[in-house]
Amino acid sequence: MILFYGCPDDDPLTRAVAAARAAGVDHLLLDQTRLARYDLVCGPGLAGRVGAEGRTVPLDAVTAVYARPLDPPADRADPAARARTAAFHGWFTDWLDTADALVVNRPRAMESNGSKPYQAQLIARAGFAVPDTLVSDDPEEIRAFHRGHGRVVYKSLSGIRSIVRELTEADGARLHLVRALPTQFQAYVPGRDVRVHVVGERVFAAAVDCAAIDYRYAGRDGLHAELSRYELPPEVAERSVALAAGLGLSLAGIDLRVRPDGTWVCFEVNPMPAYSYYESHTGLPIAAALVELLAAADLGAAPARVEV
Amino acid sequence: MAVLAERGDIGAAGVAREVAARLGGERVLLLTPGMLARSRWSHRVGPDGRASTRIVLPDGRLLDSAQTGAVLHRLDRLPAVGLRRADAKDLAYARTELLALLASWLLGLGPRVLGPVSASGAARGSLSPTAALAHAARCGLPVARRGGATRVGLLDRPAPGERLVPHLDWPGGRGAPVPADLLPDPGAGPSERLLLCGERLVGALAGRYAEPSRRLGALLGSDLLELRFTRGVLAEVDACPPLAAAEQRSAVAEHLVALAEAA
Repeated sequence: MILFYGCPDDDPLTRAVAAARAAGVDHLLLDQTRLARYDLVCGPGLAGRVGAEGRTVPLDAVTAVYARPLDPPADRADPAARARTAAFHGWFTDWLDTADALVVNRPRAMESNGSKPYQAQLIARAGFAVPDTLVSDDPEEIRAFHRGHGRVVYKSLSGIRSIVRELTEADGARLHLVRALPTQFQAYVPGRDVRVHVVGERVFAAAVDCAAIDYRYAGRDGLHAELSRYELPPEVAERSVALAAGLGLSLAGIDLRVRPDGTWVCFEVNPMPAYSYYESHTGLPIAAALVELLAAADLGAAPARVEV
Repeated sequence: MAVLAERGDIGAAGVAREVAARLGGERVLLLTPGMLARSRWSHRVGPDGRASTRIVLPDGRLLDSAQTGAVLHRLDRLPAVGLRRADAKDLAYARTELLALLASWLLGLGPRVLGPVSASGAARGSLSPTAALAHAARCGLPVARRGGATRVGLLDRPAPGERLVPHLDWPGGRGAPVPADLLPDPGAGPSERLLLCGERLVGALAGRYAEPSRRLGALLGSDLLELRFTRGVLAEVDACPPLAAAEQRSAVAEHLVALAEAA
């Protein structure tokens, strides 16, 4: 039995569910907007089970899970329903960390991008170069870093999403603001963006051609991102698989850039990738590969299970 | 050497005193969240992933990662002292950023850190008590029943040494449509504490549970844990133990001195 967990308006989840349906794979969708209607028992020593959508499934019969846990809906009028929703979400995400099933991905494994410089250290251990990085609250040190690299970008250092921006001369006048909070700066890396999705041991790469510093927000700058399928060099593909496995991620979105000299730099690994954006623009069959991975676990032929 | 702890952390202060007695007081820094938040930070991660950190403390002393022998990590927060006029959202952002910085600094110190190192930065991390027990069971430790159900009536009646705790005060008894926890009752019988500190186990159950305890430490990514047994089964795992016993504080101090000497 495969469980899907998340919200029905979340495109990566709905694509995976549709792929499971198309493949005829037995599955149950746990809709986060309907948690108050479901039942869950779990914890060590208890007969764990989930009841939802007219079915009751023992937790030890679950062989694979694709979870995209988002913030559960709040402000239900009924306090009991609100409490059941919160309890279900908390216990279920606990169970994801300890279940014998293949979990894509375990919450603890997803933590690594909660600190980008932390994750950068792990990325480098897997053999990828990372951007030269400075976190500082000293404007003079940041100016020296800027002078040394010529071009520098800045972004959040935690997992809180931010738009990557280039440090410009105009920013100089407000650089003193870093005194209030150490801020992350990185050497600008020239080249072409390549987004790699690792699904188990398979890789799906898309090149992104865009003039924006952060292609995810190209539209805000009146720019456009062009996505196309990309053939990764075998050694980069192998390194990507090893990196995802090393982080305990069966599904990962890896942000790479290939420099003009052909060398590769890794910016970060997204443990809950919105792969649907890349799939819809390139036709890369990521959802189908994900369901194949989950279904292989169903048949007992899964790759090594993720340990946190 | 640095001990990162809250101001009122008596166990950490005791460890700092013991380390100071062994190495000299000038070699031990007891750093509170406020001190770290008021410090000046310079943290570098090079293209090869090597990290280096220089922290200038509020009193001007320098904590350089290249010269740091060992760190005991017991912090769950850093305050955003430079943003007093910011709104709640910006303050939350700043605190998250500071913990992310703390996490990267500690990871860069490698094996010189005693205590959990994770991207969350917090010593207690995000692991719930129930998940910790589930991991402990997988490591071969005897564990108490602990968990919950979305409706009271889905749980068995509590056995001796257990208690049922509904999340809301609601009429209907076992038919109440509210979630409930089934918890081990820590006051329900004889208890033992077992401290994992590096490879060493401290406590009466050390001989019996050494290997599964070490496995649990490896699984949870920490070489400092306290395992609390009630009525012969593990009822709680603490990733930031109070270090209430002198024997525990001595073990931690010894381990920190050994880390510093090996660095």
